[in-house]
Amino acid sequence: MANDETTVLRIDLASPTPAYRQIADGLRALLVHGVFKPGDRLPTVRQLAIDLTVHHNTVAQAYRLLAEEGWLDLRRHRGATVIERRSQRASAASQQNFSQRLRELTARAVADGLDAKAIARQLDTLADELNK
Amino acid sequence: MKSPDLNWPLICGALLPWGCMAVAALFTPRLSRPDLFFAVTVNPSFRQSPAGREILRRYDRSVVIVAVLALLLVGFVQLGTPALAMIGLLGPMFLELAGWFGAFLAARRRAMPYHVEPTAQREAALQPRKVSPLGGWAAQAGPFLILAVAFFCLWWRWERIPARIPIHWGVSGSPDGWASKHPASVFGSAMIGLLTCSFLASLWYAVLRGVRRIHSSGPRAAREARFIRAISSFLLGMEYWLALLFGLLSLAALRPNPEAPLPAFWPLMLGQTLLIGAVFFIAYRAGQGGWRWGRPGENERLPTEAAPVGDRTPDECWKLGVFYVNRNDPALFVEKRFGIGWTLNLANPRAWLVIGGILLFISATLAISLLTLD
Repeated sequence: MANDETTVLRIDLASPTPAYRQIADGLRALLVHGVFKPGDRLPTVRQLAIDLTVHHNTVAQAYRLLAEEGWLDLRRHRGATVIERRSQRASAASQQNFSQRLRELTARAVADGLDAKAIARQLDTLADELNK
Repeated sequence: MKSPDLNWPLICGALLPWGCMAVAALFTPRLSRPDLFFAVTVNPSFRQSPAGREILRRYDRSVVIVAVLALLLVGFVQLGTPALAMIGLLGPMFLELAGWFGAFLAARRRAMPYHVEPTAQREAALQPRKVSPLGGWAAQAGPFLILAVAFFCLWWRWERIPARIPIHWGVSGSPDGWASKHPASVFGSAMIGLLTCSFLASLWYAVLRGVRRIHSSGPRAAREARFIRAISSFLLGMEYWLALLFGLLSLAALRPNPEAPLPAFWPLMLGQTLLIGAVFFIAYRAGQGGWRWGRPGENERLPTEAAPVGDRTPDECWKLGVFYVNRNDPALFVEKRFGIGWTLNLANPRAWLVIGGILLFISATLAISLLTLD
């Protein structure tokens, strides 16, 4: 497991995105980038809820979502353990959904004034990280 | 002309808490996190602004006036009657406490218009927390072993314990309270020590395991970890100290001449004074959550956040600035906004179990003391 800054989960309680979704998204990003390896333990629901000042159910919902996606093994009193995830075969719908969301996101970034070349560089870096 | 005899034990007994409270009242606002001012979230620079300085100056003035008035009450211990002496002993403490709280509430009311919305950002470290208490987890066994030895010695030498034993000692170290030989009186001191150490051990564990970290990475998080270690070490030191104190007091029943003053009395008093000194030193050096630690100017160089972080709790959940009531926060212990250490989230049902436990502990201690006294 990597240390310090790379394993900090941040959420924004003022964001329109529900807190459980932010927690699940943040953790999924760390799992995809290999920050956590199979066998690593995540903090208990109680500990994470206390640190993030959110209700237990919010964290539990995020963990359940990741367990349903095959990232975590949830056992009573043992917390959440990262497991080996079988590679998934993306459906045509989810591929189309991803393309659509990526296009919208980059359009939004360009509209906000980001340089198109800089966006392309970031996407390249991200692709390299995923391929590692 | 003959000068009047001064009742030094009572005067010292009244002056010590008076002095401690006066110093604590003056220092406490300076120990809060930079973006919390009299339990109100403000910009970190507000404290140094003319308005911030004026609020602090008026608070200081109120605290000093109350301290002087409380000092005048100490003179009552010389007036002869037990009732007036009691007013002189306890009056300064209660007057200071009430005056301190009043000065705090007035300063808080003046700071309210400068309130800013704290950050809605929350963060949590996902790696397992490295907790390294002083002496390791096994260090917790020491105080209980000391008390176990005291229990064993009393049981083993039961036949040698006289029919009347000392159970209370005055400021000079001479016994001033006696009890008949009975398991409750003989084991009473060690039992009080056991209850106190168990309570402190629970607090020690809660501090190491259960409190929220405000920062999860970087130098601020490192300071918080150091602060938690310092407080837990102090609690452990208190446990050893109280185990020794109550262990030795219980063994006084075995002394050949129980009427003689305790030989270790002054070292015990010195230890007590050192512990009080340690509290003030840690508080002054560290500040709340350890924010005062670091080299001069280091705080100014740390990265700043878009909005004040404070203690990541909403202002509206702090009733009168000192009572935290938040049903949406699962934490049992939260950082105090005014003072050093942690307080309870009163909206958490377990908080009432803790308060009940504390009341039970106080009642048990009083019951043991009262039931055993002749």
